[in-house]
Formats: sequence, structure tokens, C-alpha cells
Amino acid sequence: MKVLAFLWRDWLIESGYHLSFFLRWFGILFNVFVYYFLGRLMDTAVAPALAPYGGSYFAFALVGIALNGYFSLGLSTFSSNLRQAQMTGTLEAMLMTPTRLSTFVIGSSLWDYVFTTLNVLVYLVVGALLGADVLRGNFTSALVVLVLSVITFSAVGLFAASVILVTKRGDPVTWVFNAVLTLLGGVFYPVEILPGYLQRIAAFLPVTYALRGMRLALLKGYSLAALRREVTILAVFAMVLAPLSLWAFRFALDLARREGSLAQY
Amino acid sequence: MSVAIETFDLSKTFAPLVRQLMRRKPTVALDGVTLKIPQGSVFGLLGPNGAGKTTFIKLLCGLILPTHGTARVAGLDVTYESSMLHARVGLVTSDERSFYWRLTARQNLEFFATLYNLKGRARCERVKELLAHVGLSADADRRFSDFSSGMKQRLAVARGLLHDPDILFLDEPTKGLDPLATQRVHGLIQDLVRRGKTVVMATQQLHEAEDLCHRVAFFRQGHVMAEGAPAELAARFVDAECYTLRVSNLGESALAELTAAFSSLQVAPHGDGSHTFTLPVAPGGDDLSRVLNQIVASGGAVCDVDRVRLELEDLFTRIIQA
Repeated sequence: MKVLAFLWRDWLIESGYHLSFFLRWFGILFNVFVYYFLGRLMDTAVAPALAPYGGSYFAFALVGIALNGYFSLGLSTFSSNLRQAQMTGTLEAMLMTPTRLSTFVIGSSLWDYVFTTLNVLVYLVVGALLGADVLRGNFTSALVVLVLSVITFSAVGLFAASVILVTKRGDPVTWVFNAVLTLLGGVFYPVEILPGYLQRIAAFLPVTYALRGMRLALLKGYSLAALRREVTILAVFAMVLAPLSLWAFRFALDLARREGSLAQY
Repeated sequence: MSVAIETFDLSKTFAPLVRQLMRRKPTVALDGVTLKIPQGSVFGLLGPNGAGKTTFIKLLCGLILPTHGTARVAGLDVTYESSMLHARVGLVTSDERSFYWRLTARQNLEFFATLYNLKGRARCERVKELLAHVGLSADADRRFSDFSSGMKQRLAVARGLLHDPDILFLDEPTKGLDPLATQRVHGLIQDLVRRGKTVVMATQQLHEAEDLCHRVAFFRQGHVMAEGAPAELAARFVDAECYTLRVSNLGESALAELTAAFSSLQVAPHGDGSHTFTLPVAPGGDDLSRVLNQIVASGGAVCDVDRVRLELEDLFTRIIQA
């Protein structure tokens, strides 16, 4: 399978940078400890807002940063891999093969998804060892929320890749979503502590439902039936954004081929 | 002979959206190119930088779409059948960046072989065979970053041949290579033609085109100025061939007689008493043999005779003037 060839290629390249490879893993461990100590400081201070999620800031933040890894990845992986292939000159060589650009885009991001999944597992396991109650939740619900979230954020990422195909640099889609994600998404604090008007804006963001759904599934063990509101809203986002982003990508691809700028950077 | 590539009024204008919005003038890269390239031959694309050679190749490879006109490569329309086309054609560029520098030559080829739908044992065998074919078997497991320019270029040829294409496009395949590496690449091209493949090669070197190409086309500002066999074009546009002769033991009087008999002969004396003559000869003319006879009859010794090869720019200037 062609996508597995991309995975093998990226493993060979990444593991070739030994120091960077090990530093990335150490970075994850340090991150977990930062939120562990932060959690010890904050648990009592913000307990009322954390109550719906079990009351532990450490567990709350751990699920947030773990899922945030997928969000950031979905937003940026397609456009950054495309841009990198344009910059390194490998895109044209790949386009000369009977391989669809969509296979290239998906294949190139596969390693990032595998690495992020391993990151998330390390976050959760180390977090659990440090006392966070994150491994006793409802994993079926968590998986459904994760799949819908990945589809939704990948669709936004595909919009970003479409912009990169045409403009080469300066992708406003990722920038806006990253900024909104950090401020309004509820990765590091519950959305409930935001002022009312910001909470109303947050209600239009898929990340709000993804994080809430994932936390309730992992930290409170909610079933799919109990999470039907979050799951339904995420499913609607996924169903609307996925075809739209595919259409945008195809349009950008045709435009780049007409302009002759596909491999330019 | 059947036709491998056929273009009709093929044109490409680069007018990016941003440029259109800023009301900037579009760039005409190719304008009404109509050509037929015979199967099983080497076809040279000649011309200065920015003449449209690379754009022509990219259009024929289906990497960019024409603004108007049509092109059929291996019987396939480049606009509508590009995915099928990629299984039939290969592209070799002089861009070293198109490989993964952290991977070995074998790993690079195996990755691209998978993209060309080669699987399992067949893929490994094909990669092994091509590494041997381009003389890189011993270096197969060295990183691409450790390769010399010549080795990188040979690996690029191997990649272009992974799927055994009918037509191979080469964009300045010997750019920046030393004579030995150039020779090896030339050998690979000649071998392809012996196996019945069609090679389309963009180059700046007229002597390379003369050595390898059955036919050439001169490009200028997106137009084809002339097309034909190199010798045919030289006969059509060049009114004289030029020879240099290195002569020793020629006395003053013999020299005077020689220059009087051949008014176009230019003489440059050397410190050791020898002379270099430069002699223009009209096509079919016998001036060269007459000069040689007279030198030998006068007791002179001809140490060296060399035909001066026309540079691309020279022939190109003549074609434009014509």
C-alpha cells in the first residue's frame, strides 16, 4: 500500500535524527510533570468549574493537551507536509508517479498521526501513574469523539493546505484556528470560566464539543447516549466540513496546475 | 517511423490569480508549438534560459496544463489523461533536491518504486537491477547526501526508469557534471535508445545535442525557431565550417604563398616557430584538403587538425538572423 511507503519513509527520516527523536519523547515527559505540579497548585482554586469533569486540574489538562495534539496536527499537517515537499523539491518527483495528490497528502501525514497517538498514550499512561484518573473511562465513547474530531480538524487542515497550494506561504486558516483554539477552545481551562459573550462564540467551535466529549468520556465514563449532544454536533461539523474541504482542495489543485505553480514555493 | 509525441499549437501563459488582481502582464512561456517527435529517437530541445524548454517538458509530463492547444504523449492527452500518462513517461531533472537526503540510494528508489505501483520482490529486483545499470550497486546503501553530483544524476536517471517508461524526459541531465560523469549519462541515454525508448532532452550544449540527438528544436521566447536533424540545421543555417590547424616547420616564403592563395586563412604565430591556422570552409568545399596538400608540399608538418564546434549561441544567432 502506497500510504505505508510514506510511513516507512518518514520513520527512516525521523529516526535518522537521533537527538531530535529522543528529545521529542523527553519533551512529552516534561510536559506531563509541568501539568502535574500545576494541578497540585490549582485544584482547590478552580474546583467549582472543574467539578463537571471530576475536579482534578491535572486530569483535565492532561486530556486537553493530549487531544490538542490531534487538533494542532489536523490543522497543520497537510499544509506543512505539502509546503515541505514544495520546498525540498520532492513534490514534483512524486507527482510524476501515478499517485494521486490526496494519497500523497494523507500518506505524508500518517507518521505525524502515529507519533501523536503514541504521544497521547504516553501522556495518559504517565498521567495515570502520577495519579490522574484517566484510564478508567468509557473508551468506546472516547474513540467515537476522537474519530469525529480528527475528521473535523483534518477537514479544516485540508482547507489550509488548499490555501498553501495557491498562496505558497501565509496560511490564515491555521493561524485563526490555532489562535481561537488556544483562547476559546478550553484546552487549558474550562469554557465555563469565560465571559458569557466568549462562551457564545465558543459554542460555534467544534473544539468545544470535542474536548467536552472527550473529558466526559475519559474522566467521567459517559456513554455514547449520554454524549449524544456532543457527538451529534461533531458529526454535523464532520459531514459539512469534509466534503467542502475536499472540493476546496480539488479546486486549488486545478488552479495550481493551470497556473503551473504546483511545485513552486 | 511512428510518432511518440505530437503537439499542436501548444501554448502556455502564466497568469497567476494574484498577478491578475494586480493587473500585471502575464508571462507567455510557450506560444503555438507544433511538433512531432518520432518514436525510438533522441529529440533535443535547445535554446537559452527562459526559452520555454522546461515548460514544454512539464506540459508533456502533465505537470502543468496548457493554456490552449493540444499534446498527445504515447497516444495520451496530457490534459485529460495525466494519471495514465505518468505510468508511461519518466522525468529526470538536474534538481538534486528531489530526493530524500537522509535516505540511502536504495531506500529512495524503493520509496519511489512503491509510488510506481511496484510491490514486494519485483520492486527489490527492479531497484537492484537499476542500481547496477547506472553503476551505483556498490553505493546503494550510502546516504544520498554523501553522493557526488554525477552519482546523484545517475540515481535520478534510475528513478526515471523505475517503471520502464516508453518515453523519458531529461531536463539538462548533464548540468554541472564533469566530463566523465557526463559521458556516463550519455551512455545511459544511448542505451535507452538502443532499447527502443524515446528520449526528449533539454540542453544548453550543442555538442551534446550533436552527439546524441537525432533531431533538435530551437526554442526562443516560447517559439520553435527551427527543427530538424542537427547536421541538416547546420547546413541550412551555417554558411561555413571552421577548422584549426597546428603547423610546424613552415618557412616564411611558404607561409606567404599559403596566405596569398587562401585569403580567408588566419595565421597566429607561436614562440616555438609553429603556427595556428584558422580556416573557414564552405559546405562541400575542398579548401581544407588543398591547404593540407600545400603545407605538406612546402615541407611543413601538420601536428593537429580540429573542427571548431559551433556553440549553441553561434548557431542560435544564425538561426535568428536567418
